[in-house]
Amino acid sequence: MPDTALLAALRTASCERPYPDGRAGRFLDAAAVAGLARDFALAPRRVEIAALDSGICPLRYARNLTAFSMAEQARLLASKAALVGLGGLGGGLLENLVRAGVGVIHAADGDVFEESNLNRQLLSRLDALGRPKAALAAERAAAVNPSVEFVAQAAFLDRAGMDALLDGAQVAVDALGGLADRPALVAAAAGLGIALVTGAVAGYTAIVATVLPGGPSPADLFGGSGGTAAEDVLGCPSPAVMAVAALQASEAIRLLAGRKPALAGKALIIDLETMRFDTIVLEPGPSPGKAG
Amino acid sequence: MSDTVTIRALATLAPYAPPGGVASVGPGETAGELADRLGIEGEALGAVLINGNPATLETPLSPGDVVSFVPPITGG
Repeated sequence: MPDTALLAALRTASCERPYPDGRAGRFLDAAAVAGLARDFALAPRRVEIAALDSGICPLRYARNLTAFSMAEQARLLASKAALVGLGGLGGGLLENLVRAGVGVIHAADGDVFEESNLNRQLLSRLDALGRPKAALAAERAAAVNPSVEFVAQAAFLDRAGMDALLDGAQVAVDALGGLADRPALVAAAAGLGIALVTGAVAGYTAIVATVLPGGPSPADLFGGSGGTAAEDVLGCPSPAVMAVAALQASEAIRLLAGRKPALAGKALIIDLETMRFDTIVLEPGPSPGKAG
Repeated sequence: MSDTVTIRALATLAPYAPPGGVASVGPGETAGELADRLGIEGEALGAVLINGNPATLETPLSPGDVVSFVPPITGG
């Protein structure tokens, strides 16, 4: 429970105004969050959690309500997500997780931005070519929501590195490209007993799924047998990458808010050419590609 | 129901779909035999779905089925 001095300060620093739907509300703006964090030597997200616990909504989340209740918003701020990859999917995911107010995000990507990233990678910019993706991600997170405790390693992770990154997280998010590192990430999440929200794109076709520990992974079904990956032929256009990042983010945020996954043991197959979305049930078993 | 199946060939496999997305299917014909007939090679194929359910190349087809051919997809 927050102390009485903090509660009193929250009342004084917040102001009354209506929610967009007309309900009465009490809100705390970003400057007040920063000021109280300084005055009480608290992390900003702790100020926001205390506010939410006493019925005061940080203004930046006013439009999250009632998509998330105050209790769920507080739970998001108290949660940790692990994000592996800060490229196309990772940039879009980070944007969504940071704006949602996921309290702690630990991420990793050993790459630097190059010109061919500019077609789709949200964090890439012409003036940041050659700079580490992890550094741009940290700048973006701090600029959008300083309440998020974001730590990014400029490193490609091996299995041990993934174990360390995922430690203490409630959800792991797969924003890797290619197939090489995905089995290690599936194993790391399973080893820690947490859900992994995964996504992949090729052209305007994409897959999103949630892998529960020991459960089926879409990589078993859609990973292929080492032939040419479809994205090497079709590329990864921005609308498909952003759509998948948003879908992964909605599932990750749902889990971090304490709700049940929508895609556990399933895969959402997206075809933006025809705007067809199909959810299939994954079953463990051999890939037909391997049989051929 | 006529003796045809609807084909959804995604991503790199889209060019292999027959005109109109419909193919005839013979008695006992499997998903693999249909893939062969359409010219889809095993290595190009990630998954076969029949009526939205994961299937194998050995799964026999029935008239009216919706058969989805999906290549390996791993990009980001």
